[in-house]
Amino acid sequence: MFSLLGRTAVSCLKQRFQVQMLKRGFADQVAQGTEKLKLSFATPTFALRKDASVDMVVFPAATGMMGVLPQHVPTVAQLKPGVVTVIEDGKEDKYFVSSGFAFVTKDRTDILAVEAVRLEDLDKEAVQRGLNECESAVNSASDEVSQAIAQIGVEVHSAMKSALES
Amino acid sequence: MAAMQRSFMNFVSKSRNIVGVNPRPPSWNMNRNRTVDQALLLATENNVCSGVDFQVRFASLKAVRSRMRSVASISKITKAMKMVAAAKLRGVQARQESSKPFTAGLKSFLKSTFGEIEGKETSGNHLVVAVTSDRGLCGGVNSNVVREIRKLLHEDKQNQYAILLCGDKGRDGLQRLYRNLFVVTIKDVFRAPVNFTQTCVVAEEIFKQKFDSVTIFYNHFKNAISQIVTRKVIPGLDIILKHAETFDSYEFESDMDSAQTLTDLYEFQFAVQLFDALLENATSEQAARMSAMDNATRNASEMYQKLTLTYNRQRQSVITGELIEIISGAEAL
Repeated sequence: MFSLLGRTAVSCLKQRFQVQMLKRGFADQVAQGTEKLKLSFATPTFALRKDASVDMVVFPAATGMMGVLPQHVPTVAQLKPGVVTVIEDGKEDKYFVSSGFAFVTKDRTDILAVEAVRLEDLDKEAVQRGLNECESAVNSASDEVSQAIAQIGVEVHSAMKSALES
Repeated sequence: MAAMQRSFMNFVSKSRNIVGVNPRPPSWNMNRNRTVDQALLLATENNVCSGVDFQVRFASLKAVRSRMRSVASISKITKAMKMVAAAKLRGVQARQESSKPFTAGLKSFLKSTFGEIEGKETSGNHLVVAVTSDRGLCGGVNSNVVREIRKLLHEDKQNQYAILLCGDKGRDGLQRLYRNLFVVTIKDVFRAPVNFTQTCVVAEEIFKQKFDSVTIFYNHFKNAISQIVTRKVIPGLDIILKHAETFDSYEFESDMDSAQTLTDLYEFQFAVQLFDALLENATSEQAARMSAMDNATRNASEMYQKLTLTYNRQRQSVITGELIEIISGAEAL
């Protein structure tokens, strides 16, 4: 008898508590839900971040470096060769991306890069060599297509070089 | 090892002496064969007793034994193919799992934009992309895709269709009825592991065609036992540009004008979706091949057991026939 009473009392309490929580929830939703940004940062072969909760992410949009905090306006950004910085708990992780797209929506941010490497894994000499090769390819290009390809190579290599220097 | 072999040979020859069985009939029997056959014919016509039959049975003994040998070698081949397919499946499945965040990242964006546009227009030129394998012996994956395409083309009479084939097996299935709809066939897509660069090449081939929408038929990999044919519809670029206001809720960060940005975005999302379809189909192909070869091995070993029983029965009746001949010959003396 007592146990039954006790159980119903507890469930009543719980419901009232839940209703109160809900009421409070509505009012504070904007402030509470903005603590962390849900981020997915992936390439076709592996994922660097998968539904991770981060504080901020900075990526190289075509119009310049763009920083995304929680509650950012929905955006579609085309990426140009540059460095993506993921900031979580004060730690910064830097990755070089070649190109891709970033989608910022209400609930999450997805950065889809065609290629991404850790900045520490880039080799300075290889970058310089690649840059020289592409520059000479631009000068000796025979048709528009190969010139465009060489131009893209120059862009990516110079971005890598400036990323390593900064 | 050699001692074992020698003792085994002794045992065999001893047993031969005891039973009096010679697997090859003695040479003088060869000359009798023609007359024996005639006698057999007469015997069967007149329902005479089958004492003459055992020479015909020698031939069928050989036939059964050669059949057993071929079935055994087939089961070895299918078993090896199953192992290879299982190993390849592990590899492709791992790649597919690690590419899931990439392909899934687009989904929510696409649902809110392309998904809205997709329902709006259904008429016009449609391009059907048939994703199949190049090699066979992979169960039902290719025939399922071909069947779905045939169903679609048969039911929908008012739209114009063109077919783009990714893989040879689709061509084999569709060329009888729909050869005139083929535009491009792309071979050896799945020879190397599917990667994004290769997918972009395929996507560029697709963009050379004119279409209002693309339907991709491929096999979705549910698990190692179940692969389901899925259909992915992507509206064409012109339709997207026509309904560009659907993208108004998003700010675009790009250094090009809005039409070019949309084109770039369209090509990128198309490549990502195609990459997803190709990877899933590659995984489904390996899984289906593994289960088909497993079934084939099981059937072959079942057949081998049945053939063994038949062979033993035949062998024993040959022995019995010879015994009867010897005994009746001895009694006649």
